[in-house]
Amino acid sequence: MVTVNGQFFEAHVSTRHNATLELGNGRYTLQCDALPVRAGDIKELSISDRLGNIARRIQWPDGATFESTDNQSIDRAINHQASVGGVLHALESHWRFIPVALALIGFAVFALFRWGLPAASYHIADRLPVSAHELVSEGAIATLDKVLFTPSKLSQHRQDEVSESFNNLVSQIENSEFNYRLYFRNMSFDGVSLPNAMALPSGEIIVTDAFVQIAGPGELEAVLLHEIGHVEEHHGMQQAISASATSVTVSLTLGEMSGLSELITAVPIFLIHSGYSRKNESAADEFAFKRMAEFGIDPKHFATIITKIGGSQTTETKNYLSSHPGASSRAERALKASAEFNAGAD
Amino acid sequence: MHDQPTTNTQHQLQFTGSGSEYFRIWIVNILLTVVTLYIYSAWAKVRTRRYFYGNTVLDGSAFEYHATGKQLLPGRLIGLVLILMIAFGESLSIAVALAGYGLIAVLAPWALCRSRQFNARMSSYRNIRFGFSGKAWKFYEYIILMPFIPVLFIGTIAVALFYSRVITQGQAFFFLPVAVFTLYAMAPWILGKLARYSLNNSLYGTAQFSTGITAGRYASVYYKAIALSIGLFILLGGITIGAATLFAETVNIDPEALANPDSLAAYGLLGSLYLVLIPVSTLIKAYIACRVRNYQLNNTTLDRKFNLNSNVTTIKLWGLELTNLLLIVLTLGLGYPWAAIRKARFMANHTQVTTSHNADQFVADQGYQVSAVGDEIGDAFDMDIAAGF
Repeated sequence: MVTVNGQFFEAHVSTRHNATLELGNGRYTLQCDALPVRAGDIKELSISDRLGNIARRIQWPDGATFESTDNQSIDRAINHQASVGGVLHALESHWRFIPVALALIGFAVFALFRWGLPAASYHIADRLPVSAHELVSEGAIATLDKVLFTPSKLSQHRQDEVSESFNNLVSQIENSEFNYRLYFRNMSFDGVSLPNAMALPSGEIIVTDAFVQIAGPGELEAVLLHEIGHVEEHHGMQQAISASATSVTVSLTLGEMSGLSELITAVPIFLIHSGYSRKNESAADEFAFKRMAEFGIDPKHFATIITKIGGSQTTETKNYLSSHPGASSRAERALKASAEFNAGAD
Repeated sequence: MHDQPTTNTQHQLQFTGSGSEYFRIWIVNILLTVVTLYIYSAWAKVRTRRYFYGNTVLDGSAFEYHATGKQLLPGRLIGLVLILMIAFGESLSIAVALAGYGLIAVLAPWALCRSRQFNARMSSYRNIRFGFSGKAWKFYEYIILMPFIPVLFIGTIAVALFYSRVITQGQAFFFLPVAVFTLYAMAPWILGKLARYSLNNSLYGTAQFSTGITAGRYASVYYKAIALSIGLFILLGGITIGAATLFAETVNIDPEALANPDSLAAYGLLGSLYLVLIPVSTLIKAYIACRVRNYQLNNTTLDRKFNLNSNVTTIKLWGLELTNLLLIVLTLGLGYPWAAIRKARFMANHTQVTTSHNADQFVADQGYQVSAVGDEIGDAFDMDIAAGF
């Protein structure tokens, strides 16, 4: 038998009565000077879960309430440890769980960002229709024209040549849902024209003047196939989804610490993004090697163009290629693919 | 009722929570929220609220929060969908984002009203629940209708003047910033209206809260804060730039370099401006929070027998907020629970209830039930009295 001291309120009235509640053998007895004794089965009572040391609320079906801060006696009487609320309280009240909890949170957050969100965005991007990819890219070229590009200075003849090999490549990609289009633009930084190629999720591919100028036959196809690889494998959409998902997740998790979330959001987005693009670049490279072999183009051209582009970069010009995997390791893989290609051809 | 007026007694609000206790509750909340992919967050919120209510003690009895995670979950998920619509919409499809914003605009006044109802009904003191009798259409009137009447008026004038060829199209567009300015200038007054309406429609059991606050005086706190911030920014901005220029001259940095946004010197200037900005903006926020709170509570009574008092001072609140910010930043966020507890204790210590009656005779309103949907949509968007200010 456990005796708990506290205060009793009749239903719907704020009048406070000092009272004693006796709990034991599945029965209770409430004694209160001014009021009749209440007694019955403990199961009739709804007893609030333990939370820190706040007062416990024990309620009768009619709305009458007994409040007490003698949490220990109540826990003993009702064997609270065995309930869900008791387990939560045990977790919340022992310091020894804290390092474990911190480590688990750290791991869960890492796993979520490292594997969970990329996997989710991969599957979502894969299931979205082409129209969604086009929606994302809408207006992107117009924006890039304003901030990054100037009109191409290449001759019409050269543009036609490149377009022809582009169309030739695209016609060989089977079962593509995308409508591929090629754009010529000039991109310069501090007066230096930069070689670059990029793909929008919709299948719009942009090549810069400097790139067309330095790319020889075979090399041109290598890079175009790399960009087509990004489109076919939905990398752009994946990146857009994972960027949004990351910021949403971070702000939701830290939602209660409002004000700080903006500060913290930017960091993981940045870290994850450089990671994603490395993985995607390698995937697009593999796509290019495979198709080059199929179309009878030696993958070694990929190695030469990547070295050319890498070598043309000065320390000041940090274009988007700086987030790519090291040019030399990509060239090495291209040469390996080339060796396999040539071995297969013999 | 047999209340016999005696002498006035002042009951001090007390907060009995502890940082180390809340820290462990907070960590478990985060852990389970992450592990259950956000689902547990509804229960986490309940535990947090219960902890803070249950540790707020007045005259020997604590407040209580009664909502359950199951009640909060559906609304929380609706809120999540809206957040996702906006977050993904912004980078994927403008139409989806606009639909999300549109839904929020249409739902916000209703959600705010439901949130007040729900939170009041789920709070109790001495076995009596609080209540809120405000009507959603009033929230639409204050939040949607009132701000747009002057905007509509200004727009009509601009269109009329344009069509009667008094002004050109270009001049007509000058009315746009005027309309936007009016909208912003009205916002504090509208917040005042809402505060007055909300307080006058708050209940404890069947007893009414009533307030003497006016929207005009409420808004004047914000106008003073704006004047204060303009003054402080000019003063401190001038001092910082002056000091930076002086410093640049003494250590021989080309003053031109300061104008170049990429130079180290410019970063230094920006950094020092930022260092000044944080305490200044914290001061302004503290000023508003302190004055608005004091004005509201000191002019509000329950049942015209219980007077609420608040005696927060701007400087003390400022000191608290600054040290809390420092605590959180230096502990990389882990100090947050201690900061939250410090603030709750500070607020309680500056709140009293004065009365010559005893609180024994309140009776419950055995009326309605409300669902949690409105509450959680409101919570997901952090809409509270002073949303966006």
